[in-house]
Amino acid sequence: MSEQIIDSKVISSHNLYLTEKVESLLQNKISWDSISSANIITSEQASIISKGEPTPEYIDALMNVAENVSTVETLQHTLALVDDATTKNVSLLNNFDEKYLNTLIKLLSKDDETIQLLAGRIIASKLSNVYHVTPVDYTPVFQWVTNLLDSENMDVVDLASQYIQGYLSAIPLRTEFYRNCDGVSKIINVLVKRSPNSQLQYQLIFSLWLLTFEESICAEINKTHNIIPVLIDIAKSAIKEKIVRVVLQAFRNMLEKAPGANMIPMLGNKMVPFCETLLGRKWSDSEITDDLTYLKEELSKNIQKLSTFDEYSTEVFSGKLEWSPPHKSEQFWKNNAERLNENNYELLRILTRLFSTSTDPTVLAVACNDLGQYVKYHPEGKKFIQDIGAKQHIMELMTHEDPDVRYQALCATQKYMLHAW
Amino acid sequence: MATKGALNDTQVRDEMEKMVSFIKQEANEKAREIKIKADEEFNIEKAKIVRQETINIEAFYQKKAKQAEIQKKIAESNRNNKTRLQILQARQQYLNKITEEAQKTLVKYADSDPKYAETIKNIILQSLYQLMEEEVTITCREKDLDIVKKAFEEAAPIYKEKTGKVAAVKYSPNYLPATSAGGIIMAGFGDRIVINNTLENRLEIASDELLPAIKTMLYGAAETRKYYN
Repeated sequence: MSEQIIDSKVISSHNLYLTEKVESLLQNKISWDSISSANIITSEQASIISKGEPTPEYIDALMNVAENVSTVETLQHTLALVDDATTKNVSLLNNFDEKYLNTLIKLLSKDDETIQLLAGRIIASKLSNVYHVTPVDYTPVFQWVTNLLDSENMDVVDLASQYIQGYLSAIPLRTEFYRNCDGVSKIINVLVKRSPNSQLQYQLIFSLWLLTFEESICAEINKTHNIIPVLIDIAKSAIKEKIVRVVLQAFRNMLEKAPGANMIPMLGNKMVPFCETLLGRKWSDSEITDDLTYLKEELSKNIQKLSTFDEYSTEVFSGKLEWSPPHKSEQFWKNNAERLNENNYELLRILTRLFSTSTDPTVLAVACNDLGQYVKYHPEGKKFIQDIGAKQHIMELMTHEDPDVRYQALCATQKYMLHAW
Repeated sequence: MATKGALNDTQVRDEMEKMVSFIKQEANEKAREIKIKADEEFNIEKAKIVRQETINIEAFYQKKAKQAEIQKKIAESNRNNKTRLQILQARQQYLNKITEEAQKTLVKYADSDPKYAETIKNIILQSLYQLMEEEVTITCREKDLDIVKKAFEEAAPIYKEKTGKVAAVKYSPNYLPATSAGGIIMAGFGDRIVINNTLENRLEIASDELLPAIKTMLYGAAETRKYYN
């Protein structure tokens, strides 16, 4: 098995929230002998603890205390010692079996925050060894840590995101995390609503990236959580290079492992122009340029394939209009605008019907765009548009509450008026 | 010389430490990402190799199993052949024994049975009819000479009556060995046509012809035989 190449102090070197608490509580002396006289540990174990040398027996004695004692100060102190020892001497984590892990997991439900955070931290250190995961039910751990993401205290949120990075390093647990807790929604919630600083953004997106290594997750994560536009926005406004780096890595995984599910939303979210813009900037990490080139090429290759008229008509028939390639492609409209006349203006009628039946702003916006394009490349159709009442609808939509809908309606009207003589 | 805003040594050291720890953290984060990507590539490659080798091993063992099957069939076939041969040999042995016994009985017959003289006479007649000659040479056992002469005298007139030929006989000085079972050899046409009518010879001819019947009597009909005509 490989050694820990990664410095696990990376876990909280900048966040001193927990460290300060631990420092102060370690000042208090715990009488280990009184604990041993209560027959929780042997006197031999008490002396081992007092000596403080990080050996497996030391950990064993401490974990014994943790399992059987319920005084808050003692638990805090014990866990702090365990955490300290396992951070300095990572091989001690090899002895952590189901029994210790279950003790720690139980401690996550104690009321004291320090106890929880320390227990969570030790579990994260243990799980950072990616190859071997002790078989325990980690669902309580995941639920606890994702609930922390809702905390008011940003330091706690930061610690939670670091712990999640640790937990997700264990490859077998990624699917479990995705399915058994609200992790992704809460992560996105923090990213979007809590104005995280760069480091926190990086940590959260890193966790999302770890999830994208699972093919099954890639196939549905955007559908369920709509992360593509969220990540694109963050990357566009990111100052730090490493944020763009993880975002691109996540996109690359999604495209490589589940192209079917992700190709269209990526194209629809204008990822190709996004990549082109970023390629214009200078990056010190060549892997960023590699990923950008890959994404741009893969997506461009498929634009042509996906802009067929058949795709378009299936979409219109389904009623679920989205910003898929055909809608925006000028080429498409130039070639196919007339084809909307086919079958007694079937597609046009459907589009018009969608105006009256749909309340989804995307659908309305797309429909406006489509009709505008149709009129632009096939002006003879204007009369028909008026006859079936589509023109009326578009003009009404210019006062719709959604700004995108208003914009599209305005553009469509503009195109309509273009050859009004 | 201190300019306004310059840092003293402690501050410089602090700043440097901060920068060092910052750089270290950035590096560690990148290292972590690299390790994760490397693990992924490792897993993919490992799965590919495992899959390939599994296929190879399966193919190899399939081949081995088939070869073992073939070996087994060959060994079985060999064993079958060997046992069949053994059976045939054993049967042959018994048939030979029968012939031997018959031979011994013949000798006894020739030496002690009173019907021998009559047999000789009939043999002489048979041989004469076969040869249809007028001058014949008879070879017989020395001790049979008188019996043969007497038998010839009885046979000659019957021969003359049946064929109109008169047979003149000479007796060869090269007698049949005393151990033979008897009978005669008759030669005619200047010793150019020879009829071996010794009892051994007759036994041989008889046993050849009777072989199928004897075999069936001893061992039952052959299971796979279809035609009996």
